[in-house]
Amino acid sequence: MQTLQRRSDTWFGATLLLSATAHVAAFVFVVWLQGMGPDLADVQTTYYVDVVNLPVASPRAGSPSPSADDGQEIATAPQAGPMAAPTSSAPAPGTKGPRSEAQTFQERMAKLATKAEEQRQSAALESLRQKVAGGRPGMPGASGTQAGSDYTAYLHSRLKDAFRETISYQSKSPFAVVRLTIAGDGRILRTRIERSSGDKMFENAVQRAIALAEQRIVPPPGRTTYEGAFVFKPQGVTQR
Amino acid sequence: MKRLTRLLFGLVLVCCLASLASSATYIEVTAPGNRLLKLAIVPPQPLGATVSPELANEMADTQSFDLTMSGLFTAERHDAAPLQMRLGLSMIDFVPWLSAGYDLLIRGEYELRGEELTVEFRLFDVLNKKQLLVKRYLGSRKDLRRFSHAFSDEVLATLAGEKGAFSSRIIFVSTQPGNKEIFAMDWDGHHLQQITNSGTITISPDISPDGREIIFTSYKRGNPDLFKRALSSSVDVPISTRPGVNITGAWSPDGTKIALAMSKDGNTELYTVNRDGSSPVRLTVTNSANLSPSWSPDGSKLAFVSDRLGKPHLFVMDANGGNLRRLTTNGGNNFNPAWSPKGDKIAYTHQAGGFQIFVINADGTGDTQLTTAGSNERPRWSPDGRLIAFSSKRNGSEDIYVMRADGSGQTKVSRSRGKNLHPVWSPRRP
Repeated sequence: MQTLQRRSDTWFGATLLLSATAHVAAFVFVVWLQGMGPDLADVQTTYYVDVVNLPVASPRAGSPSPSADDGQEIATAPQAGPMAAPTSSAPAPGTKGPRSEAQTFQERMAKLATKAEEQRQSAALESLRQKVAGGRPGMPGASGTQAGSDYTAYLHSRLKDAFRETISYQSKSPFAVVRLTIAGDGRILRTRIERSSGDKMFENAVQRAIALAEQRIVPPPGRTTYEGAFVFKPQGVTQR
Repeated sequence: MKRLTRLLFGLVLVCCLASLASSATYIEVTAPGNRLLKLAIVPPQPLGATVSPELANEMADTQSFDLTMSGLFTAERHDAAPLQMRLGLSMIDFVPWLSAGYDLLIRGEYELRGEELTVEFRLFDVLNKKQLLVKRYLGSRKDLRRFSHAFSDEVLATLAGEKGAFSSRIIFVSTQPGNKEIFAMDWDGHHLQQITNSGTITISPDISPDGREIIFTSYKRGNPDLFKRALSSSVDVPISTRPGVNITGAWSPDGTKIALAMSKDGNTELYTVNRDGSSPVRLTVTNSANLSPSWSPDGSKLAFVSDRLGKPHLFVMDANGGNLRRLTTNGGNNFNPAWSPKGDKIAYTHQAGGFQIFVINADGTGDTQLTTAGSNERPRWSPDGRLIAFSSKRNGSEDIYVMRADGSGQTKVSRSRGKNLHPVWSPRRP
C-alpha cells in the first residue's frame, strides 16, 4: 500500500511539469503570431472599410430594371472618400497604435471570429436558397438576366406580344398547337406544330411570331432546357 | 393473373394521368385582328448589256397587282439600290426592309438578249432573313407578264398553301367588233385575243375543265344553238342544234358532260348531253322555265334558275335531276348561279332595283350582298376561289370587273371597246 502511494505523487509532478511546458509553448506561439500581425491587420482593415461603404444587397435583386426610387437611392448615397470609414477607431494601415499587444490580439481574434461566422451564415443561406427555391429566379440570388418566377407565363407574354405583330390568316377558325423546346441559352431548339387547322398563312404567322419572340426572350431558369405547348388562335374566334 | 390485372390497371391509370397532364399544359396564345403582310417588290435588275427599266417595272407592277388582289398582302413596288453581285451570290441586307415594316421581299434579275428573256425571281422572309422561293423563267420578251403571274402563283403556293390563279384567263363576250363575239384576256385585262368571228350574236361561253375548248351559244344558223370550239382551232362544232333554244351550256367538272337548257319539248328545261351532244337526259319536268345550270365542284349537284314558284329563284338538285331543293328565299328575281371551286358557296345575281351580286352558302344560309354600285351581273369564280369576275354598268358602258370573294377590291379589268359581258374564268394553266 505504501509503495502505491509513493508512485502516485511522482505522476502528479510530471503532469504539472507537462502542463506548465504546454502553457509556455502556447504563450510563445501567441507572441510569435503577433509578429505576423501587421499583414493581417491590413487585410482586416480593408475588409472593414468595404463592409461599411458598399451598398447593401438589394432585396429586389433579380429584377433587371431598377425603379426610379432605386436610382434616387444610389444618387443620394454617401460618396466613398478618404475618410469613408472614420467611424472606426482602427489604426491606419501600416501604423501601430499605443495600445497594448493583448488588446490588439483580442480585436483581431474577434474580427476573425466575425468573419468566420459571416461565411458560415452566408453558406447556410445559400444552401437554404437552393433547397427552398431550387435556384429559381425571383429569389434574391437571381442574376437579373432571368425571367420571372413563372417562365411559362413569361414566355406566353412574349409570344402574345410577337403574335400581335404577325397574325395573319385566311380561314374562319384557324388554330395551331405548337410545342416549343428552348435551350438553356434562350435559343429555340425546336418548333413543332403538333396540330393545325391547315391554314398555312396562320401557321406562317405563328412561326414568324415565335421567331420574333426568340429575339426577346431570356434563358429559362437555371439555364436548363424548357419545353412547353402553346395553342395559337385569333382572339375572339372560337375553335370548332 | 391477379398481379397482371393490377399491372394493366396501373398502366392505364398512368396513361390517363399523363394524357390529362399533357392536355392541361397547353397555354393559349391569342391576338386580335388579321394583318395583311407587307410585301416589297423591287423591280428586277439587269444582268446583261441590255437595260430596260420599263420591262423591270412592268414585271414588278404585275406582281404587285396580283398579290394585292389576293387579299393576303399589301404589295407595292419599291425601288432599291442594285446589288453589286448576282442575286444568288449577294447577301441581302434585311435591316432597312425590317425597319420599314416589310414582312416579305421580292427581288429579281433579268437578262435580255434580243427578244430572248430570262428572268429569276426570289422571295425572302424579311423577319427570318430567309429565302423562301426562287424561280427562273426562260422565254421571249412578250412573256414577261406571264412570268410575273406565274411567280405570283408560286408565292401564294408558298405562303398560303394553294397556288394562285393569276396565270389563268377570262373568256368573255365583247361588242368591240360591232356584234357580240367571244374574246379572251389575262385575268388582269392584258393580252386581249378575239376567239370567234361569226358576224352574228355569240353569247354564254363556258370553258372545258382542261382549258382547251369552249362552248357557246351562237345565232349563226338563225337559231340559238350550242357550239364547241378548240381554242387552237377556228372551227365551230355543233353540240346541240335542236329546235328551240340551246342555251346556257356548262361543262361538267370531269369534262364528260354538258348541262344546258333546251326547249325542244316545249318550255325551257334542263338536260345533260355527252360532250359531243349525244344522249340527252332531261333533268327537270315543269311547266316553267329552267336554265343557267352550274355544276358543284364534285359534279354531283347542279344549281339552276327556275320560275316554277312564280318568280325566278335558285334551286339545287342532284346531277340526275333528283333531290330538288330551293336555295334562295329572298323574294325572287335571282339569276346566274355560279358554284365556288371549294363547293361551299354559290354566287348569283339578285334583282332589287338594279342587279347586284350576292353570295350564299350552298346550304342556303349566309346570304350576303357583295356589290352596291351600278348594275352588276353574271359572277364567276376564279379557279382558286379567291376572286370573282362579273360584268358591271357602274361607269356607263358594261365592263368586266374583278373583286375578292368578300366583295372588296372591285376593279375594272377589261380594256376592249364596246360592251364587255358574260365573263368566265379559265382553269389554271398547267
